[in-house]
Amino acid sequence: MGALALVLIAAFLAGIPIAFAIGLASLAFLLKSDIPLVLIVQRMYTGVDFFPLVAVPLFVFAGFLMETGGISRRIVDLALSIVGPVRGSLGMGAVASEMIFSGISGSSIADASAMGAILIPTMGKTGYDNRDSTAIVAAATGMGILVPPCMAMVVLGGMGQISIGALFAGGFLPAFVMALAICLLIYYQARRGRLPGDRHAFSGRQVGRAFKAAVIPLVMPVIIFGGILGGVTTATEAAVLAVVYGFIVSVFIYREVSYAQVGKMLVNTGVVTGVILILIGTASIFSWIMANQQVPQAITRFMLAIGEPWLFLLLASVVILVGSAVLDGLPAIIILYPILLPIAVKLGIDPLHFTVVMVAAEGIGIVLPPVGICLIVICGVSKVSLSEVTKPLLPYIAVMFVSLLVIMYIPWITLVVPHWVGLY
Amino acid sequence: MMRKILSNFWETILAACVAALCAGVFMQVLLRYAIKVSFPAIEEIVSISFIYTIFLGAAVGMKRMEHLSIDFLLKRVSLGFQKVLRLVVAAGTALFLFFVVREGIGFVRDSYTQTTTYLNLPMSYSYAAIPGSGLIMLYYLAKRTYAIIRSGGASAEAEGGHL
Repeated sequence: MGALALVLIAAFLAGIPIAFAIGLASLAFLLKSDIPLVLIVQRMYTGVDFFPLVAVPLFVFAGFLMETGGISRRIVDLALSIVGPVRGSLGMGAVASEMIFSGISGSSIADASAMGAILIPTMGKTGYDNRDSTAIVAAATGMGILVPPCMAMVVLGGMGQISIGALFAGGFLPAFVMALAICLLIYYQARRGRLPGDRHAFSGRQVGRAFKAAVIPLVMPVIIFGGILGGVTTATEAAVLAVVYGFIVSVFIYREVSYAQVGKMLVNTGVVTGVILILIGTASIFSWIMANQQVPQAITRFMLAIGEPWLFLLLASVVILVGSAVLDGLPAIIILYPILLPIAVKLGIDPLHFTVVMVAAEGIGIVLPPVGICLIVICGVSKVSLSEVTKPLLPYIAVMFVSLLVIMYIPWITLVVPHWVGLY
Repeated sequence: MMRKILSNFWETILAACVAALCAGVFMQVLLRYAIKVSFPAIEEIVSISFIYTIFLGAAVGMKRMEHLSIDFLLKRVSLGFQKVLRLVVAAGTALFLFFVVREGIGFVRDSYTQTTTYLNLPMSYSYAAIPGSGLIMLYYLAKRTYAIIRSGGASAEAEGGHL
């Protein structure tokens, strides 16, 4: 196990792509053991050969169609127009926009970049300091990962064999709790004059116009959420319906996407899928070795000796949070989740609740200064340095962490919607 | 046109895999809801397309250097050391991929008699995606390594990515 850990750390530090670094460390362990090396290929195959994971490329493709075809833009315009009458409304509009937009394309980096490019200049025009708008968009991006359809949930649902529809349903209220906490902070800062109190931005006519423009795009969330939560479709079926609807709207109704662009989107979808899922494949070798060496059992024994599930939840969240900051989000959760989930179940923690808490922790990790990947991307878009954004961002990180604690210790918040709609 | 397709050969196949996957899942949904019939054979086609999407996608990801990695050390060292580090990265990745290809070929050979339930296709068609993808990745890795050796760490960085 020492060789495995050593090679893994050295490979990460050297900059070997995370998927291959995990594979290389596992290979180093297997070469020293008497386990047949064919295990590498077997695990890489069986780790991804699970039908619900088919939803990954479908949601990625739907995300690309929404982003390029003008669907997301029209929904974001509506969200920005609605929150006008409240102090700090544009900041809250950014949070609302992230709730609708983020997490769908499978690449939180792409989402952060796209949303930063739309929202930060708009906020700048109404008097927001670039540092504040960067901090708000970063916090909203971290929260947005909880909003279904969320790629991390599709992946973890596949890995943990938990209903993806139930996970989507479980993410709703926690996302709302975190969004509410961020909005309250924005409101507080706007009242104290720390942010522009842009109440005048509201116009009923503008809302009407934005709503009219967003009628067709609003069918998209109805297909995704309505289908899954209503128990009509599975997550995979909802994803393919979103692809077909997105294709028709983008190519034939709005005509904002050409066939050549569709071709490029298909290739990009394949690449995003390959880059994410090959990680699951190599992480599957790694988690097999961990299980074979009884690492989860050892941690479970230790945690059972302490006997406090709440402490385990806290420790697991901190590990995922820090791991996500260092390992760019999803890779960290893919590596650690198969080790942590069985322990959580042994300690009596509901697996769906545990998974949603892990996703929430990942969301904070990807915007944690100074290494959170999405924060770096958003700073790149806004041309604000990491040191400049750290101070305005810290209060947001603090409220997000408090929200995480609330989600962590009140399982009802996660479980009520899946129970209510009969998905769990 | 032909030249463009050839230069993007793997991208074209990848796009076809994703399109087949989408079409297959959509057809399943249509059949299930419209005529209340399920065709498991379509699910097998979707599964094969899915496996090829993953491994071919990872291979094209290698060509485009889109695999996620931690680069904070790489950004903090001198250009000379960057070149050394890039070569170490390439060697480590190649070592893993070599075993993936070697073991993958054996895995495909040993599973030739296994077939899928409905279409009776050899499972090895699906398993072949792994060593195949490994070979493509090794090819792009070799190309990249050659570029690093010839042009040095600085220009490699200018082209983006690690490998």
